[in-house]
Amino acid sequence: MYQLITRLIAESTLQTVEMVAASSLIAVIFGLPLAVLMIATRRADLYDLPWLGRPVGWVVDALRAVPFIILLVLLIPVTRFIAGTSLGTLAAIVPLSIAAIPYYARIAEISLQEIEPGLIEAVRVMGGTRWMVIRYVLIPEALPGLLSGLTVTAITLVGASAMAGAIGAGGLGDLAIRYGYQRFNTTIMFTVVAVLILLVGLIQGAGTLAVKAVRR
Amino acid sequence: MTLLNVSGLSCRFGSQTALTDVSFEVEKGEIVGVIGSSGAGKSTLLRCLCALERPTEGRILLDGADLTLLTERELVAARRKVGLVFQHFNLLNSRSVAANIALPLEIAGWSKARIADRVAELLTLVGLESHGSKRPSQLSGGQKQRVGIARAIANSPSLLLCDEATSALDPHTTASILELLADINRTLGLTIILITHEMEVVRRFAHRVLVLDDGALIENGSMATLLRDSRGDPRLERLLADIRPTLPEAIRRKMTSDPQSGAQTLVRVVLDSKAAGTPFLSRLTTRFDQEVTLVQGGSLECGGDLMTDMILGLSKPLSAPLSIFLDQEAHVTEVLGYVPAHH
Repeated sequence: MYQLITRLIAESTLQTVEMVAASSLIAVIFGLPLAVLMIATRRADLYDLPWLGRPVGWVVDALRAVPFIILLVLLIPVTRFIAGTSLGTLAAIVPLSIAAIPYYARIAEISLQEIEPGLIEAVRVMGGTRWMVIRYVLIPEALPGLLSGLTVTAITLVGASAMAGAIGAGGLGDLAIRYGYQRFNTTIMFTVVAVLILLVGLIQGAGTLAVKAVRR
Repeated sequence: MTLLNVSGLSCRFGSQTALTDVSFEVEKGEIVGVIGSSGAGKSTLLRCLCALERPTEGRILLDGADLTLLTERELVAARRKVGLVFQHFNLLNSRSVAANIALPLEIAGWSKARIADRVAELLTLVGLESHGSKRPSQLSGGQKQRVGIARAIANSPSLLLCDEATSALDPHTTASILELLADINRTLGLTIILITHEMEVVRRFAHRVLVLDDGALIENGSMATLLRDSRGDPRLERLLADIRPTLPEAIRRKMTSDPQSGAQTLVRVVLDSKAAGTPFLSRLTTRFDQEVTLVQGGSLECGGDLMTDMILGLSKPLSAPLSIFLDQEAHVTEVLGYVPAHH
């Protein structure tokens, strides 16, 4: 019995970590450029193309407005197209990522917004191109904020991944619902919650350390 | 040799006029101070000079190239010829001090080895040899500005612009930063434009002073010229108030415009660099039989020259020969008023 529980929990933890890690990574890969696009097109001292960035913002907000459980179902055809299947851990990464990208884009946008205009001006005056401003000023100066934003996103994804159980993705949340809640197995439920707390704590701790390391 | 030639420069933002028909030249190796109160158009002029702003009218010739005609791509290259020192330093905290200084060189595409040599050289020049690996946030204000200066001159610009570079610093640090700038001007022959609202900043080092008021250039000359021309011009008087001797309030209250008998005559006298070295007060005493009291003021370093700006109390009214003597010897003579004798 305990062996089974241990195995189930170990398996589920791995699935959750997989889903959260993969979708966080994808959130950064697509969300950060979106955030840079939204900032750089809005600023008069960079590209000054507000008509380009604003629609991107609308799409980002529209995606964030859809509840995740609905998004999960709505995206089934997309998921099938990208992952080849609409079931399982791999399939869950698609809707998780699509939810995480706009979420992270807005969070990253806040950190990028905080950059002092004087720093951008300094690089412009040195004869830096707009691309150099993004590379030398925006990203590195916002890095502490970008990292804490990533931490927040990853922790939100731990919660969201529980719902991915609906499409058979497994994971800790799914385990707690199916074994713990639906079958009244309180041992599994409390163990899973404890593991989740530990996982979130680990992510937060790693994030805090990373921020400290880049801030110095 | 003329480095910078600005002619007919006007800048408007909508209905607001920031600069009106500003023309001046800057010679290679000069230190020029641009002074004006806030809103006078200093920042706009600066932004035009470093090609961040395109003027509505006029031309800016820097080293022969007209900044107002260049395309965005050409401007990127043109800006590398101008170094800018900021009031609030604008250093990147994500980079070490050395990496901040290296930034303009990275942008200009220098090789790693050349950058390392140049940065070491610059750190020594600004006196921060041991601070290269620190973060800007670990430095004091004065040290940050030294980094700002090193960064601005890293790519050997032909013109260094200083935008209120000392306004965020205390007087002692201000002096050391100005000293560094003067030193750079002397040793590297770098042309410097100091933009400031503080007369004290331009007084000592600027070879020439440009005064902006309400978008227009109202004065262009040496500090000595400015001290002479300022008489009666409230716009200039206001700017000069910081560095000019003023009458103590107690005396000002007693002062009248009536040359009654036995009263002390208060005269403001400015001596240029030639006369400032002579025993001027003794000559007043021996030749004109005056008892002279120094009420306020003394020697003043102006654009590298020594001048004297003082308020004297004379025991007798100004006689005709004394007036002629003052006209000949003094740069500026101005009778301020009369103070009744103590009785």
